[in-house]
Amino acid sequence: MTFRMTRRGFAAGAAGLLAAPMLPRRAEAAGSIVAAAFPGSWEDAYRTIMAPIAAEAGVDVTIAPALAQDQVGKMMASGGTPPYDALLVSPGQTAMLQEQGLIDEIDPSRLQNWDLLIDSAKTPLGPHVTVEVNGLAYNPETVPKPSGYRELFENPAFEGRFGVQGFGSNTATMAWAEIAKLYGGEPGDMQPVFDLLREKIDWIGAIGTSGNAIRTMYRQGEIDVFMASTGNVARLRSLGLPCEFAHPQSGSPAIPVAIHMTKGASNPDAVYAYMDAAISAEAQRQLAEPPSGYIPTNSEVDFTEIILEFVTPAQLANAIYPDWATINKHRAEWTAEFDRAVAM
Amino acid sequence: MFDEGEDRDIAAGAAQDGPAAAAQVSADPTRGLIVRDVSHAFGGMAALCNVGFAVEAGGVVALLGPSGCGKSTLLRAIAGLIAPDRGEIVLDRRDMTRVPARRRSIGMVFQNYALFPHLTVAENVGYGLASRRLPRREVAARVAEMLRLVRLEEYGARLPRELSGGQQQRVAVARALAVRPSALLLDEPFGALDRGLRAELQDEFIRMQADVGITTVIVTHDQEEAQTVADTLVVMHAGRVEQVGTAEEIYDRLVSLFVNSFMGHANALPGRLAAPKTVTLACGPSLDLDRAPPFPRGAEVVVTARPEHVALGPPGAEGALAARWIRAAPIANMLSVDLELADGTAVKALVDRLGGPRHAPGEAVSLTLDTRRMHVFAPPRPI
Amino acid sequence: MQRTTGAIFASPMLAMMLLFFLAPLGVLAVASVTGPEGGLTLDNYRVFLADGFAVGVLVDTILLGLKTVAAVTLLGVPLALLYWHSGPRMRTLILVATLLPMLTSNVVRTFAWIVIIGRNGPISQTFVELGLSDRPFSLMFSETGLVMALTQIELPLLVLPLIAVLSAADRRLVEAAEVLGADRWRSLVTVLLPMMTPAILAGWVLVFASATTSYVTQSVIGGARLIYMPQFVYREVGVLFQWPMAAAISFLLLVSTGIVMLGVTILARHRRLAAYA
Repeated sequence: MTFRMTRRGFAAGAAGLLAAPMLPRRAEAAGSIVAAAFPGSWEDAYRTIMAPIAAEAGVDVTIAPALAQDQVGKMMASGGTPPYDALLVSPGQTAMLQEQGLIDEIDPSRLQNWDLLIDSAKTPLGPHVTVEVNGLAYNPETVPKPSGYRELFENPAFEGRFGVQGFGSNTATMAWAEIAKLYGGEPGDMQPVFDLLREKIDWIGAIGTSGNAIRTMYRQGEIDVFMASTGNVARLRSLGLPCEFAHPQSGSPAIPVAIHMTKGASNPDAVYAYMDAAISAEAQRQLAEPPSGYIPTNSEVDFTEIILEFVTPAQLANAIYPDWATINKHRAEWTAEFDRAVAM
Repeated sequence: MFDEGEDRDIAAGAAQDGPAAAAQVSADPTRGLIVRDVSHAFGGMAALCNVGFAVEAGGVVALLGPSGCGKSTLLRAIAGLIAPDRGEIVLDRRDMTRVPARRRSIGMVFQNYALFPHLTVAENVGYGLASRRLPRREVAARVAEMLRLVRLEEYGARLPRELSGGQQQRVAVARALAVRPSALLLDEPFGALDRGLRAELQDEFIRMQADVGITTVIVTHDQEEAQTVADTLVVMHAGRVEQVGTAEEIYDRLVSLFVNSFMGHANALPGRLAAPKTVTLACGPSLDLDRAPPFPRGAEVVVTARPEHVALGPPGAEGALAARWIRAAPIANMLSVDLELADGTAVKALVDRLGGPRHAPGEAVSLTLDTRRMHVFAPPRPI
Repeated sequence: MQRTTGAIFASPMLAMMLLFFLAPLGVLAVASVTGPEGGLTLDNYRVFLADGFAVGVLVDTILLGLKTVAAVTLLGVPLALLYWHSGPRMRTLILVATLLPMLTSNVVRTFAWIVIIGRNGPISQTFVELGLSDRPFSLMFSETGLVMALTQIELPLLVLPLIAVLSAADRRLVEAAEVLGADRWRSLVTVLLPMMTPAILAGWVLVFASATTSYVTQSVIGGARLIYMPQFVYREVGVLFQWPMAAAISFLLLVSTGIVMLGVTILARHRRLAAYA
């Protein structure tokens, strides 16, 4: 078959291309939505596992990579025409989105799998699809297993070997909140952390600006310990790197990840279908396997070997869930102060 | 008279005995510029082939030839900008062949002048002096002197692009002369100027050259310019010297068909030597010569005649060639007439404007060649 | 007649500029002087300029740009001179080697630099092997490392204009200097460098603009301890959602880098250089 292009056809095509950005963003095919996912392993997992499952339900999902905080920013900037139909965020962002009126409550009766969810995963704004358990990722070949956050700042074995991030990251924010407690801070008081940072700034191996940057450092052998979720560790292992997960003695901060429907979503039916797929046993069973190793929220799905290696159901039950309202209130101020504490 | 032999042998001969040629041209063979047996190739392509000539101290020689004949390459070799593969360049008894350009003490005026655009006129003129680390005051005095010489005293603070073409040319000359070089080289120095200005600057150049009395080599493709400016012409062709001599010597004693056609216009008529002294022209008629040319009977030859040696007559004149009048243009008190022979060969004639023949285009005329002033050459070899 | 025709042909470009460049800039300007209640205020600027830390970040950003410009110049000018003196084969090689990195994304090049300047990278290992350093070291999160990476990433922005100028340059100017007795250094300083100056200045503007705004390289190689304006702006936009403040900071960055670039441009307009431009 030959492809013949007439001048008229070319002109029409070119005009279409030029006009494309001005057209309504989403294709009009039935059941097609744009869903945000965190860049990196989440994006990969959702594209390879979730999208096909949703497609079976007749929903064409485009996975758009965006950090939780960026999703909030883009939603705030969109002025009534949301760039996403479904968001993937954690409670900190959920609170902000709710406050700004950017997400809608859902109707649980539209989700067939709703009743299979564990109780804590059922929220009025949407289902939790997993709980990330946080702790410390370390390289067993180069450093001893850290007992907790405090040891990182005190055992010379970790001097210059661990990497941290600022308050832009949820993982880091939760870790800093724990560290503040360990060094005598009341809830909402981050001063002990800033004092510690100022005192031990040269002790810290690397202060990165994103999770990806920190993980790249780890892969390059620049650092051997960092604040991480179990998912991060599973991912690095799947790349063939030696990596272990350590629960801090003070407890492991945990953070659920939820899917929300944006206000003004183009196709609520399709979003429901997508949510339903995300909490289905089929999807969660696959996502619980390497490389993602996400902890399931569907009660029918058992913890897989890789998850059990990091977290037992008992450990999950004892996990620490930070107070995101307090964090959100102080986040701006902490972010600014963090810059000042670490800047050269 | 008729010239003897094949052009290239003579040219090569002239080139090979450079010292002899030098002695011929130079009054004082120990001073001035001698170029001896210079050959050079660019990536296997011969650009210069056994080139030699000499300039007496204070003399002006013009390297004359069409573009691509190697004259600029030769000039660059003299300047030291290229090291020739073979040969010798001697300036005032010093062998310069291996001396780098910056130590040759040569002044050069480049084609389009190559003035430094970001430097003022005064800085341009003083550049060579500053290179020699002369004291600032000395440089300033010499610059002022040079600007006076080229009558640009008022222009010292200007940038080159704020000057006219003629002024730029004079700055280039001043810059080259400021360092009191042993020789001055000029590459098409008048090429970028319009006709009127060119004549004016040529006159000025002659005056100045006489004042300074510097050994000078000028490259040009314009034979009129060469005749005006230089005492000696070196006619070059395809990387070789064709002929060396004064303008008059060359004009009258042509060594080759090339020189003949390059020095002024020459009507070339192909023919065959029918008898020792008779040429049958390709267009039909035969010419009787007053001397036997050195070619065997039956040889292909080319007969040349200058326009002023072509006389016009009424159609059908005895012993004349039939031709048609094409057009005429006045040159001073002469008339340059374009004619066409029966076989289409174009011929130029130069006749008196007043009292000379006048015809309408297309009219039949006859023309007679002055056989005493004609030259016979071997036909050009295909290159 | 010719003028009006030209204007007609330029009009789509003008419309584009108005619509996609000036209009958003206007929106940004308005946002930067909008208070929380919507009134006109200069508070955002006042807050930024009163904050010593923030002003320090601005100064560091400009210094980073200047350091990169200096490093790129020290590397790029000799490279361009090598190009000038090379034959056609070497010239192609230099051109391709200069252009090739531009075909990969800035992000990829930045991550490649993590490998190069890291603790286990070739620089550290070479120093250790040569006995110049007792133990492996990392240039990550150091300004040295950042300037090195930026230098390589921005190098084409200086070298390409230089190559363009040198390819079209009149070699007879250098020959004229040579015949006038100038040695290599003198002809480099008095002829070649002035000839290259307009391209160098153009390159400086590009390198400076690019280095001061390269968010990815700054944040990945510089990390959180070296804070520059783009990160600062991103923080305000994406983490703190302080958009009027972000607009004000962007404007301050625009103005301060604009002043540096304007200075360079004025320099390039010098009448002595006009002939080469």
